[in-house]
Amino acid sequence: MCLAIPSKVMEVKDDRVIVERYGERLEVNTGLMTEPLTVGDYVVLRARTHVVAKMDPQAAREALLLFNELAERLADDIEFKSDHEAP
Amino acid sequence: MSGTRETTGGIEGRLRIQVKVDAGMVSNVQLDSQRPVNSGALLEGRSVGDALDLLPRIFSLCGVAQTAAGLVAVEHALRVSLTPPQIAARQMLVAAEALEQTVWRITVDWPTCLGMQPDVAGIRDLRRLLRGLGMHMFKAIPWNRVGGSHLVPDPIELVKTIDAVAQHAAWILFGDAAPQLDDHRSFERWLGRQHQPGPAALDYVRDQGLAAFGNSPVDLLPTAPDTGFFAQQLAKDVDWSFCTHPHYHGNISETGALSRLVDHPLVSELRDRHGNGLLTRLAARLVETNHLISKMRSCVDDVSDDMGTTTNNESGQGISVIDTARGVLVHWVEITDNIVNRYRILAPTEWNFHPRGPLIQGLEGVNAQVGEALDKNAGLLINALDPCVGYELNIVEH
Repeated sequence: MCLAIPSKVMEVKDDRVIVERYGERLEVNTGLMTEPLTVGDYVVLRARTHVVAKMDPQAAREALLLFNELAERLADDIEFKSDHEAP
Repeated sequence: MSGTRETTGGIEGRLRIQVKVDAGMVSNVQLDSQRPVNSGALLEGRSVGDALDLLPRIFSLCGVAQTAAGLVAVEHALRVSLTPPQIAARQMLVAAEALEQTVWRITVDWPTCLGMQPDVAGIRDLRRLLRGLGMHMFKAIPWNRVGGSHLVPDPIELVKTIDAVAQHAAWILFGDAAPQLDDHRSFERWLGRQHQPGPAALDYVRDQGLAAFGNSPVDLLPTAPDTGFFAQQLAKDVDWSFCTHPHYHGNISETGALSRLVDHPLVSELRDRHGNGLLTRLAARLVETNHLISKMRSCVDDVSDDMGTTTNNESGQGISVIDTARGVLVHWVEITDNIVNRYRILAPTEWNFHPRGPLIQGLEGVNAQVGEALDKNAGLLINALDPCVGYELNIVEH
């Protein structure tokens, strides 16, 4: 259930790229990709270690809106659980 | 108190596992899962079609299984009878994705655990081959239509693709020494004779005396679980507590390759000798690669031209239980007037990484000095139980 959160390529190295998502930077392996990646591309990761797909920018923007919504719901859910916790 | 997660790592979630060691023994294991078990909420309030379109876009690892599970749950809710060719086509795609994930674990994650070079190129080529299957079955991609999509299969191309997949998978897993994984004697003869990076983990486990490492008394989920029980629990899971800490009729349980293959002759014999320890678990993963390829082959015979079915129903509750690489994936949906009212997803990781599940019970009490290092051994056990997110392992010695 690894989420397909779009990550933006910030730097390209030999077989790795540095990506950023929500302010977090990760260095990940690109060995699974058959097409080259360039700075500014959006990609999807597997378990924060490997790039598994490149996304078109429009799909990435739509996906980011979706995950923003999930983040808000997560926060709401934490609040919900907190309100129902036994003292 | 309210909380937001500051990084995407927070949205995606991670497993934080803390292992305490006292006098050479693991004395305590704490597991903190930050996974977003409420991702099904993203589908609520949307039309059924929009919700099903979102599933493969939300999940990057198991998009096919998630899509199939969503379709089956919706079809159950709307009382759609799927034809056998449509069922077979989906099963083939789900098995193909499970094969990719299983081979990935073996050839990339197991070697990484042991500090060996993973075979990333091998999995890249396997992914490329597997991608052809859908195109050889469906007239158009995507195939996520309720009632099934237009099937125009090309059985010759399907068989050729599966042959190529089988050949490539055998090569990257076993090199030129593919074993008969049928019984303990042939398995023992094969161990130690091969040098591919993934199965080399089995040599490590045997040579370091780790065959029974991680053995736990946790029940295995049955291969055909009681879907009525899941439906009942998920329908009342308002606060996501069942999705967070699932149980099966009150029992904490484990899911995955071991629970599916517990009756396989080799797995059964290893279990008799070593319990649910590392050797049994890793062997079950290897055996499952053959089973998944056989499953794909068996589906070819059942796939034929088919237009799918339709429904006029717009409301109902439905459930699906799908086998994925990591274990049983359950979707439950409530639809009112073609709008998703409530949606629950119960993923395999929540079974295997339950706070009293097989990882915790398997690690507590083990000899921390056996094998090269506890972090390697525990890492292999974590990978054998196959979380769908990253993890942090912290070992504290007292």
